[in-house]
Amino acid sequence: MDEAAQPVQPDGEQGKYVYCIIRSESPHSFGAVGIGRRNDQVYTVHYKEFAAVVSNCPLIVFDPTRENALAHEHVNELVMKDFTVLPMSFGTVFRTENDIREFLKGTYEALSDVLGKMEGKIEFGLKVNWDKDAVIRELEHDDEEIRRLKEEIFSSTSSSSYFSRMQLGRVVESALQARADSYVSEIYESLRDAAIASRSNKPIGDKMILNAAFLVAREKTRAFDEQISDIARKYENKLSFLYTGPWPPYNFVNIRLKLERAER
Amino acid sequence: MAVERAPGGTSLIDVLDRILDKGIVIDAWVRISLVGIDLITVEARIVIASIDTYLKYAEAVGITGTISRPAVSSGEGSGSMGSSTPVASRGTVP
Repeated sequence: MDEAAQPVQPDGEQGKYVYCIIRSESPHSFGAVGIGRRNDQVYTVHYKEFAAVVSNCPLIVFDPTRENALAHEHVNELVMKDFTVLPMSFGTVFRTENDIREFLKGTYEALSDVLGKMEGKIEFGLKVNWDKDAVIRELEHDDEEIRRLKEEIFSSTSSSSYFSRMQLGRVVESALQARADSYVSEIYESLRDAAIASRSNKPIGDKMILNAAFLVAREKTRAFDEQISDIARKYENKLSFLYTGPWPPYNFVNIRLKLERAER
Repeated sequence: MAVERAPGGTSLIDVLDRILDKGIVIDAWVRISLVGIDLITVEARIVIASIDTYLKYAEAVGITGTISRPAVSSGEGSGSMGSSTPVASRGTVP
């Protein structure tokens, strides 16, 4: 090993950062890619048939900086190549391996159930943007009512145009909504056969009409890719597609944990 | 034009959108106390507060009702802020 790879040992207490849970009874190592820039080894802590994928880390609350967030995601992606993962949300640190085993023990049934449901499945992300101005121009061309209102506004010189403008705004808005809805449902419809489940998140910004995640069986990845390419071709020049993945099934698993005083 | 699939880690927004509040989530204050508490000695343990898996495919009709679309005319409020992420359950911070 070269010197740069030597972990720096800062003062202070050490903990275990947890990236995800997998099903595995034998120990695994995923390389010196742990969070926190210290080249910590990523390895597994086991309870029965489950394992937490962890690395040593300082016992601190991690900030979701770019570097930390990408380190968390990178480990998940590495592990995902060979395992079905239940991803931990960012920043989960335990003190000791024993605490992690206690955690796996306490959540055993839930993990078993959810891992079973996610077995062999991965997530893909799809964001779809449109050129809203182009769509509005198109609507002005196609929609009779919009055309008529525009003519009214142009031809009238006085007060009546105020009402027409308001109405035009409303009509255009609902026509846009209808068009976005129809694009979105066509997209969902064409991906239905290749995906198991879908979730729609809130679109970001005013050009986005769809911000969705799809759960896909690993062996259907290629079919899903092809479906995405097909719709992208179909809507070329109208919509732009941002297609990402594979991701751990973040959008399809939500297990919330709390701390409880143990009763003895 | 074929669409290229970008690997997960290429967009920070996409990463943050997932890792901060999805998957297996330990509420923020627990996250902080974990750093300070040895689970064994304090006899505290981690239990499940809720489990959700989402295994449904979108219904073709009406799916977009759940997402908000920006209002076209700035004069009319979009009212889109109500349906954000379910962080509300963090309201249990003592």
